[in-house]
Amino acid sequence: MMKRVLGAAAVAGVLLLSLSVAAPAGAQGPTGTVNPNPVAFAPGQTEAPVTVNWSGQAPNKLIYVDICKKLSTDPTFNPGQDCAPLSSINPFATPTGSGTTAYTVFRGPDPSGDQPWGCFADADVAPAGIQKFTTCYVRVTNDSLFNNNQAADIPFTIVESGGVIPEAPVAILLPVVGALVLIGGFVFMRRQQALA
Amino acid sequence: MKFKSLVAGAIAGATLLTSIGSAGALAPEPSGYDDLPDLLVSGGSDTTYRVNQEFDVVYNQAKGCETINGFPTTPAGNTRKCVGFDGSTTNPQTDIKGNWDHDVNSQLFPTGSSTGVKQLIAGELDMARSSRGPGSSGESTANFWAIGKDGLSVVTYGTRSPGNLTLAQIQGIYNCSITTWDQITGNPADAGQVIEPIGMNSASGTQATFRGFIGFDPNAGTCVKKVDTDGAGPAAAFFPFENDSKPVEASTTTINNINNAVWWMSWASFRAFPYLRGSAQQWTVNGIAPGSTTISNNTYPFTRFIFHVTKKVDATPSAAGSDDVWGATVAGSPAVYTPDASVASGGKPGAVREYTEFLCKNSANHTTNDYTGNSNFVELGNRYTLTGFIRVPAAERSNGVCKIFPAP
Repeated sequence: MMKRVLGAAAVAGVLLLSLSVAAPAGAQGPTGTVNPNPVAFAPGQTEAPVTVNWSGQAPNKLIYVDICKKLSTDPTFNPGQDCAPLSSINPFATPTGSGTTAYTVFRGPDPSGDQPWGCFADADVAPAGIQKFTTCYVRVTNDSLFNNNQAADIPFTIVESGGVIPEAPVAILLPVVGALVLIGGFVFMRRQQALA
Repeated sequence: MKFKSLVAGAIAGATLLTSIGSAGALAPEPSGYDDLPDLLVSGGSDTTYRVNQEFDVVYNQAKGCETINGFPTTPAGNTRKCVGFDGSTTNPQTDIKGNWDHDVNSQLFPTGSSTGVKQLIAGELDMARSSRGPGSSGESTANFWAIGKDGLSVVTYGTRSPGNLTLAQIQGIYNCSITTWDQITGNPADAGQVIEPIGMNSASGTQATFRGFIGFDPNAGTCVKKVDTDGAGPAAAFFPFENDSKPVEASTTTINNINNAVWWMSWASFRAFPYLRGSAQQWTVNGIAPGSTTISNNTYPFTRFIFHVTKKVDATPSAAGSDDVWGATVAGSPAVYTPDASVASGGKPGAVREYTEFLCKNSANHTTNDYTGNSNFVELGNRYTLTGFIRVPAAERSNGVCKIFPAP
């Protein structure tokens, strides 16, 4: 019985650990980060500065940075209606395909006023007719805005300064829980051996 | 008895009003529509050629009347007209927010904004494309409808790393007082690198706009280069059309070192069309990078509108701040259009009026695109993105989503 429990715990722990490693490993090719993330906004603030880093883009190609509401891999993704028209910048190309830029993200409805969606904190109430997204994406791609194959979609969320600390993401929780299960199993086994 | 008379009178009155309404229902369409399809021809700007082609696709496929589809017809010549065009019956369609007459728009190959505007005024075109605003004289019969916003990107080529140029430095480059790259970069290694500024076709709106920014003709300087695409030498060289880097990068007889060349181009073309962009890289100007926000809020120094140009007699706003084009009033949904007796109700002038309204009206006054399920407002928005432009910013709109500039 004890061996079964230990075996199950070991399998669960290894599985959880492997899952936590597999998540980022799925993102082959272009990657990026938004810092800080979550992005803190003071009450009433609609724009906040962030730093966007990217790597894995094609060398010496014009870079496109945009804020979008969908992943580029979504079969219905269309930059014209899924990205904010006034969020677009074109940083210089680099020989390495890696780079960084200062960038501004928005909180609230799309700043152009022409798109019926926006990026909001969890507790925000979207105006009538505006679709609320609590996760938006900074999309980085190269050569063409319509280059979905090399797009890195970096999710970001919005919190209000002094607000509730967001829950830990799955990428952190999975390995922690996995490690705890393994340690627990090990301690349990040692206790059983000591009792014997 | 008296009550019965009142009721009878009311019924008679209502019947009369209804019959008047029914007679109107034979032609419920806005004032510019006449149940007959017109073919509109536009020409001019190179910069706005592609985006207008895209708008044509949206307009040409927009909902409209049910048409007579048989051929031949009796009497002859009625194919593609709206059912009921002769008042014999009522058209079964009721959605009048698209392209009721199924008018057809077409864009002639670019000849430059100024040429297009001249042709419009001379009656050779129904509408014109322009990437520059109205001139100070000779264009007083035209309305310039700003339909989008753009910037001018100052670019270099090849291995030249982009940096910042001030307006004074750009002026110095084009008036030939700044001649070597070390005067820009401060790098002694650039001392022998002679700057090679390139000019542009003078009929181009992009040339006219740049001329306005720097304050003189950029083609006039003795150091300003032409291009030679067939290798025939400087004698056959010419100032290139805007936005296409290929002739610039291919011009080996007039440009000594492409890494030292400077040019300018539409920001929209620069970012939308990699094949036109070539190896060009854009510089910041006065420390500001061209981008959708800096162009929208005019912090980037070189911003401009792009224009749909009409004759004033064909299309003029019905009122200040209205998204209706002369002779039509939209109120709520479905739209109610009130014909205006003072303007032609149909033909090409009416078709120009309706197309102008289609470009400029607010999202609520558009209908669904049958091919995508999106509103045509969204479809037009997708076309702006596809071609690199942005809509006229909300803060600058005067009529619907457009801003009108009547030519003085």
